[in-house]
Amino acid sequence: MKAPRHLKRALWIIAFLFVAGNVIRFSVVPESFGQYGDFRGAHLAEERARHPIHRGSDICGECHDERLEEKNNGAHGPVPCENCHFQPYAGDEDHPEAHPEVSQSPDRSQRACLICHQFFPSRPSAFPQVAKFSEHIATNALKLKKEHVGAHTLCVHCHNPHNPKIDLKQNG
Amino acid sequence: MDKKKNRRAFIKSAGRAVAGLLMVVALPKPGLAQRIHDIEVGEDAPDWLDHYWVYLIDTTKCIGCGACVRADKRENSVPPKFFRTWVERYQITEDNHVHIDSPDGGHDGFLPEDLAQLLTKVGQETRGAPQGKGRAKHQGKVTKGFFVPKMCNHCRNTPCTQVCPVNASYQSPDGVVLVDKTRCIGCSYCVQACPYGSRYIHPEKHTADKCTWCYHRITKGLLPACVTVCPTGARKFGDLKDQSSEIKKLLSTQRLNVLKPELNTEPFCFYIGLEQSVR
Ligand code: SF4
Ligand code: SF4
Repeated sequence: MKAPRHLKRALWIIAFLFVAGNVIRFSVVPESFGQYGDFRGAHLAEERARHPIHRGSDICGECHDERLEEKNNGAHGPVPCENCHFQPYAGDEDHPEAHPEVSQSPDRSQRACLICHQFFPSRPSAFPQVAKFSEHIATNALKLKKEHVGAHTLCVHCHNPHNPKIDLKQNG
Repeated sequence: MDKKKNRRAFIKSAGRAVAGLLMVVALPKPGLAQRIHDIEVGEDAPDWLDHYWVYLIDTTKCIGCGACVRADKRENSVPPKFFRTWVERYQITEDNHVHIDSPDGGHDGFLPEDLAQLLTKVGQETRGAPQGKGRAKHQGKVTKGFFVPKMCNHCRNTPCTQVCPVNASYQSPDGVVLVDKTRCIGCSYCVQACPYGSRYIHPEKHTADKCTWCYHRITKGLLPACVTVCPTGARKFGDLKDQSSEIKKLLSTQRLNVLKPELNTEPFCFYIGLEQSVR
């Protein structure tokens, strides 16, 4: 028995849609799509492959162990080296070139210190803050190193950034 | 007559059933605490599925130094004027006005502009003056002040992935909302959908970009860059599936809140000490 023409035509159309649909699907949908969910699974590994830049202080201590110990025992213990020494140390076994070619000298301006220690009403009151630099000098610094007090006095003239606390009794 | 009665009875009972169903559906979602504890991921997955990441910000500790913003820019090459994380300063004056500012996202801290310029000059060896404009101007005594670091909240019920037409934005099995840049078509639906303003369209790549909780770091056992550099411990990060982790302890002992809880986005970035004026 011969199939009616309209049925044949419908079958052809269905077959065409099936083939075309699959061709489009496989050429447009990436291979790993749906591996872990409704997204391209391979992207997880791609995102993961990027090289980390900030490495924390411990990696600096591998060479500068005394400096690190000094810092860690002082009030700046929780501040990582790279916060002041700008260029984060991105080097490791595979990327040793990241340091020491890069300049590691820190910002020695007052701004570098006051970015954390300028008094703001929004800062937690227990955090050490300087409300007015001139007053701070008048009350403290005069007792310390007179030769530095002037228009170009910097915080770092009195405070060692690696161990900033000064025992006034001892020095005064 | 009878038929009509039957119909009325049917409509009544149907109405009751629908109302009942609606009530079941509209039952309150599990609370914060429960959501934190009931996370499960399948067994035979790669090791990065063995985690469920969570972020915690202690606003009472933040000093607004902006180290996190600077670190984030370096770690993720975030283009100028765009931010994956930023810090907002809140100053509430005697007259109960809330002054909010975030000059350059807090990138150069919050020093008054004139002071910053002056100090930069005195310092000579400095690395350039701060660029940030837009500090809040106000008179009157600040009676209450604090800093609020902000970023992508990696919401579990996130609107940003729901609107993506090509599934470029998605939530990874370990709870991080990521953008597949090879799929993103830059339509910026997600930028508009995010109620926290966490997303932007990258000016050169023309694809959506946002905080990834430093996925390339956390999957290698490192902390996100912003957590690594925060000198006060205001930013904390950890794995909910690690029962002995510090974050687990903090989450179960501290008083938590999230940003815009009324939106039901289920953020996984929790806050300690969040003031009600924070939006
Ligand atoms: S904070 Fe915004 S970008 Fe992040 S998950 Fe929530 S909606 Fe998406
Ligand atoms: S680094 Fe820490 S203390 Fe500094 S602004 Fe960021 S969250 Fe606040």
